[in-house]
Amino acid sequence: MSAPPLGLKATLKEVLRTKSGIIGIIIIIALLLISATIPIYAPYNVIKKWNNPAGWLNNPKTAAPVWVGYLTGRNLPQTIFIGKDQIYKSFSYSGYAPYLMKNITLRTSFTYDYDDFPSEIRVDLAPIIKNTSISISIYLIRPDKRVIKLYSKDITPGSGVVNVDSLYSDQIKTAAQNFVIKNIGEKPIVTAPEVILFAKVDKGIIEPSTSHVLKGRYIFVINAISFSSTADLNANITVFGKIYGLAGTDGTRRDLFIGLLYGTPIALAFGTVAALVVTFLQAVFGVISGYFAGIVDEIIQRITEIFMIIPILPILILISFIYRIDIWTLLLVIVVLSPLGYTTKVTRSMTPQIKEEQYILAAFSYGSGSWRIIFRHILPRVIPYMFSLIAMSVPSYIFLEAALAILGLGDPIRPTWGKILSSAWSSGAAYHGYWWWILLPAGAIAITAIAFALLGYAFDKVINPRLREI
Amino acid sequence: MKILDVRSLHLYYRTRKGPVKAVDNVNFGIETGETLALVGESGCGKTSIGISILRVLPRNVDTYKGEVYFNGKNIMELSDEEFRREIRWKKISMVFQGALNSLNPVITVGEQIIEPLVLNGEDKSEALELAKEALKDVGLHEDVIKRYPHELSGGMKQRVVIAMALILKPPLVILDEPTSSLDLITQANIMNLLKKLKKEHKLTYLFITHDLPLASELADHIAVMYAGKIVELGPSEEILLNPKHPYTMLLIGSVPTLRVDKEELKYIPGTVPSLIDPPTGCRFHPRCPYKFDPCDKKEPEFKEIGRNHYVACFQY
Repeated sequence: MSAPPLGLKATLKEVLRTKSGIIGIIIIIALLLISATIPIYAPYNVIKKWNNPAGWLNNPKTAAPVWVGYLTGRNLPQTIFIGKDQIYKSFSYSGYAPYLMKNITLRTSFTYDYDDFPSEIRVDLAPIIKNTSISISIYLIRPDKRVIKLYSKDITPGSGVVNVDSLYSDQIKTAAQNFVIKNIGEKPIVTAPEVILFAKVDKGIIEPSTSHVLKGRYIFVINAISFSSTADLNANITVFGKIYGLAGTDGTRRDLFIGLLYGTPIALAFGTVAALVVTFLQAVFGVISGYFAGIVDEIIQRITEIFMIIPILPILILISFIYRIDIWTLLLVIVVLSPLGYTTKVTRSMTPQIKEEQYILAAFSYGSGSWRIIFRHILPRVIPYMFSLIAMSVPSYIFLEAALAILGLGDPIRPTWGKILSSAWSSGAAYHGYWWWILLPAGAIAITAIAFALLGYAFDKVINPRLREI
Repeated sequence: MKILDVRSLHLYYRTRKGPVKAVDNVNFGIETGETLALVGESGCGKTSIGISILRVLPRNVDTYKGEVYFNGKNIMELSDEEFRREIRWKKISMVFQGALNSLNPVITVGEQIIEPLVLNGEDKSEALELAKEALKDVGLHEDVIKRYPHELSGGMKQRVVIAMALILKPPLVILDEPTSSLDLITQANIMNLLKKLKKEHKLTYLFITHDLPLASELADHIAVMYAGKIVELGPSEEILLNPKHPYTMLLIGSVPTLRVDKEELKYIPGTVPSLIDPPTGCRFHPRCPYKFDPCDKKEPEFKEIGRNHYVACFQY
């Protein structure tokens, strides 16, 4: 061991001279900068919003990131939202009192010229009725002038807002099926209303994969009839697209980009804090062990060996399984489980040599106590050797958190990369081809790991002159 | 008055083969304001005397006893804690052998120099001011305070170490080979600096060296050590011009000089004996050209043969 007489500042400067060090630091700084944009991108309580499914209802389900459209060159459908202000409303009356009927007609149109089918159609009906019921029908007029009656129902007072959704409504499904039978004479093999309603009438309509998009102007007409003159009806129509945001959405329509952003500082903080605290503690014990020698050394070394064979992951699984701990408690448990370990052995082996140096004797002779010698004179000498160990162990702690999350034992409320992967896993994202749901968080973990590994190599090169490039 | 009076000091190290008698019943004193040079071959126990006076002992000490009077007070009776608080660096400081390694490589010179001050409760910014003063005192620019040891030359480091030894203004400084790893010019500079500081601060030096001519530069008295014992002690001129002990004579004879054209350098045959099992009687007798009957049986007495001139030899 030839001791390079370097402090922290000098070491960092040297690290910045190596290529891998520069790349590592640039990636880490970029991650930090990106994660600093959360308050701009999501200016609300992210944890609360993330865990409230009602907050995400206006997002498409499992939508791909928007940039997929640019990559494939196809004009993928965006979500079209038609609010009540964009819907033209008219009233008419028929019959005579007391059997006077009020007809309410809502009418709106939109142009659909995307290359792919929407993923879902939802109509939110908000009737204003007091004592009488209201009878509502929804029609879709296609660009080819074909009219489909999607839905009709009598709504009784007190029903609140009624959501008519193409994914869940049997009426719409039947309407779509009947539309195919009527025009083609065959029953569709797979009935996907959002496809059939927007497909050209040809042989291919019987199956989504062979259907062709019918572009043009679509008109929604909602008719409502009530025996009350005060009755009214408002509606929103949403035609969900297939792309959303920079990272797409997951199975509960959450914007994955927010999850990824929020997970970045958590992963960085968790990994670096765990690595720093654990390595530092282990180094301190190693120096103490080497400095005092004798029985103290013997005891610390034997306990270290016990700690080194404790299998951390199974114990963490056990603890998380029983207590459902959050990520910061998990950090604490990791620290408690590894105050002694590999680094203890490394510093223990370096200390006796440093202890014999003249300046330690000098320090002792001008009155430094053992602890001052340990912390002021010996520890700063071994710390530079710890830098690479710290940098290299950051990814392992990030992986550890992700591993627990994938096992379903992650933080109960915070969106972390591991938890996003975990929900992708349990929703069968790989089977359904929702690759963004898996690749983006996994890629984030991998990039972070690579950054710290590069930084670790750079430290190694600076501290260990044998590894230096000539 | 004697600032330091050492009486029957013993320091034995424990080894597997038995105790190493590095300091074996050593007696000497230093008058206030004077310089005593402790001269001897490598391995004769010079440094052991230094560290036993300052009580910075290695772990393997076997026997450590005797009396060390500092200004009339026996400091051997102090507890370790009292010794640390009252004596070390405040009363007696030390410039260690191989001073080039006496600085912590990872902290700045300023931080290093103020360590003794900070340990004594001095405020850090005030301590830094004092450190600047101390650096100027040893002839360095005060900017050195921000430098790291590896940025300094050997001579500069040596000056820093001396500044550090003087920072608490101790009356007695032990200089253990302060110039051994320096070139001759730097050596001369450091010696001049030590002289200047001695005058300015009214210091007393215990100057440990293997280099007799160098000792003569600074010393008022010289003590010659051989195999853990002092064999001759006296005023410098007496020792250098009129040596009595055969070992001193041979030591002076082996110094190379430019003026006389010697055909061959003189040396003392044989080597320093093992201190684990030293020769019986006079420890120098196996190498002594004047050896006679009682030499290998009885230990010679340390007796005064002239004014302040002591020698341990049967010839007198």
